[in-house]
Amino acid sequence: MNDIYIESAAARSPLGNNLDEIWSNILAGKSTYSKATLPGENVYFAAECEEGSASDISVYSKLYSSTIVDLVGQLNIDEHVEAVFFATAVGNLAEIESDIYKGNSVSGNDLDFANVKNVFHEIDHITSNTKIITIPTGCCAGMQAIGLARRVMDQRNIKSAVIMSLDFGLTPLAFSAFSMVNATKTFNDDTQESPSRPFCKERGGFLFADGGGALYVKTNPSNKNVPKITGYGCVSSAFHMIDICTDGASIRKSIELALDEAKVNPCDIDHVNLHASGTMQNDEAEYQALLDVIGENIPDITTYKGNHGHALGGANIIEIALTWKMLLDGKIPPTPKGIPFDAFEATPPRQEPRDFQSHAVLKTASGFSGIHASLVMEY
Amino acid sequence: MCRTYECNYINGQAVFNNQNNEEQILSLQSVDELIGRRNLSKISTATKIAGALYEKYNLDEYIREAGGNPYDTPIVISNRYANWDYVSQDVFSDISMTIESTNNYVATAWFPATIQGYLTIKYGNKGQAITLSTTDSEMMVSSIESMFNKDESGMKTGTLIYGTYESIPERIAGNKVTNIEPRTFGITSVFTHNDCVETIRDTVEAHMVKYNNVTK
Repeated sequence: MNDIYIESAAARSPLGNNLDEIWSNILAGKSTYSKATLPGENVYFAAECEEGSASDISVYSKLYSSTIVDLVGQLNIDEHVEAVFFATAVGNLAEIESDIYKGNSVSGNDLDFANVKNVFHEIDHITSNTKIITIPTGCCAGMQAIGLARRVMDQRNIKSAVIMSLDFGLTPLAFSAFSMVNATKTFNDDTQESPSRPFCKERGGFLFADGGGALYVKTNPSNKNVPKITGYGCVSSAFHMIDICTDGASIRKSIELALDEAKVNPCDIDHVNLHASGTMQNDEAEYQALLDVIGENIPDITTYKGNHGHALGGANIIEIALTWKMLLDGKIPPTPKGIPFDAFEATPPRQEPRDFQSHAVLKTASGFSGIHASLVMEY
Repeated sequence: MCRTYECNYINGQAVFNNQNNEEQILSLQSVDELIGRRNLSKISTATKIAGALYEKYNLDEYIREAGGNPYDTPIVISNRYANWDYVSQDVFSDISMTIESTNNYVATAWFPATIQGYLTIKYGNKGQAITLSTTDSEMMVSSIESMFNKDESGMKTGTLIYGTYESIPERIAGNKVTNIEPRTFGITSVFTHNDCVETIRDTVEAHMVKYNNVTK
């Protein structure tokens, strides 16, 4: 199977409107959160790309389509794109809810996840000949999109593709649904810190966020001195829709599949970017999986949800874009300021950014429905 | 050899068809009984149909007969319209009422990936599973081909479950959904490693034809 080379990467998150801005804030150890105020005295923790937007669904509903266009623009593509692999959890839910709260009828065309192709077809270099597929599998969707792209591009002899994961899901229905399963916290004015504290003893659950990332990938680029995806693994836990078994067995299996496909030994992994959603279950399961596969000498890790929350389906490719940036920049960022990173001895905090050369990065992710995916990025 | 099973909700009844095109009509209550009372309040109609087809046609057994392992069989689900039927009567033009009416299972029942989650958890299947939304049949064919388990020489092994499940409600928040025909249907196909790409292509077309005339 051909490796896929990442020619360019883009992102938008609550820490910045483009990858350079987000990376600069991450290097500075910054983190962010705010609140969304909804009718009926419902106030939730949130991390928004546009502060205050989630409090007004009519404003918020416009961000999904406009950010898709913006992210492709950030990729600086100057040739025809053969395929788009689009990953999401909730798709254009905000547009649909906006119609509902205006008292309008919902159009069936808006309900169709496949119709995101209409947004892409408005973008330069993406035409009616571009193959477009949506992967609506939630918090692992971006990873699954990369895994699918790698195989389908090889099979169909597709040379170039955009892989994007994006969610603007800070809607009333989503806030209340996640609140019902205790995934999110109601905002409290007395709180002085973000609830998103992965790999800390005192965790606060996940910080619901929005945003997305995009990659422009090629199977045979003219410049091969760029990070490439060389291995991918994915399994189902068959355990629970939202709970993760803390023995880490499913995560471990996905890592082993990815390493096997990349033909990389566990000891050769020199950096891990974790899913690190900020829940105790996730932390324990991921940590155990790393111990089982890599052993006690766990390499440096990054956990970006402590910086800017969890953008559901959007998170995967934001994190992969940041990892791509880290490899090219040769710098590892500090852990977010104010987050002690004290849950496990083998994953200590870093106070400052430092020079860092990495050749083989492991990326993990877990999602609703018991999906666990891992990939290997080499440079 | 690929086998395909189908269920369509027509006039308040569930019409099942097996690979020999033998039709059987069940009441919706009988479909519920195939699922079991414990899960009924937690899942959407499309998920229910996926489970009912699995139970009614004893797919575990067919997967074993066909040389697959039901605990490690890849799943490819097509779902384009999420599971709006689950929340269609619990959303309102008033945001506060929507928030108050949200139940404990919306977070898991609404998502398109719910169906793969239900099948993998219910049947203990730890294989790779994915949900896709596309109108491009060739991309679906390639996705299915790519999802098969492979041996060391890259040859397909075992079986693969391919299912298309939708339940498109007539109304959301009291208003009629426009530009669409409300439909409830499900198709499950089980491919074996011997199925050629033409068989997969024909089967994908048979699944996609269910979307004909859904949009107006």
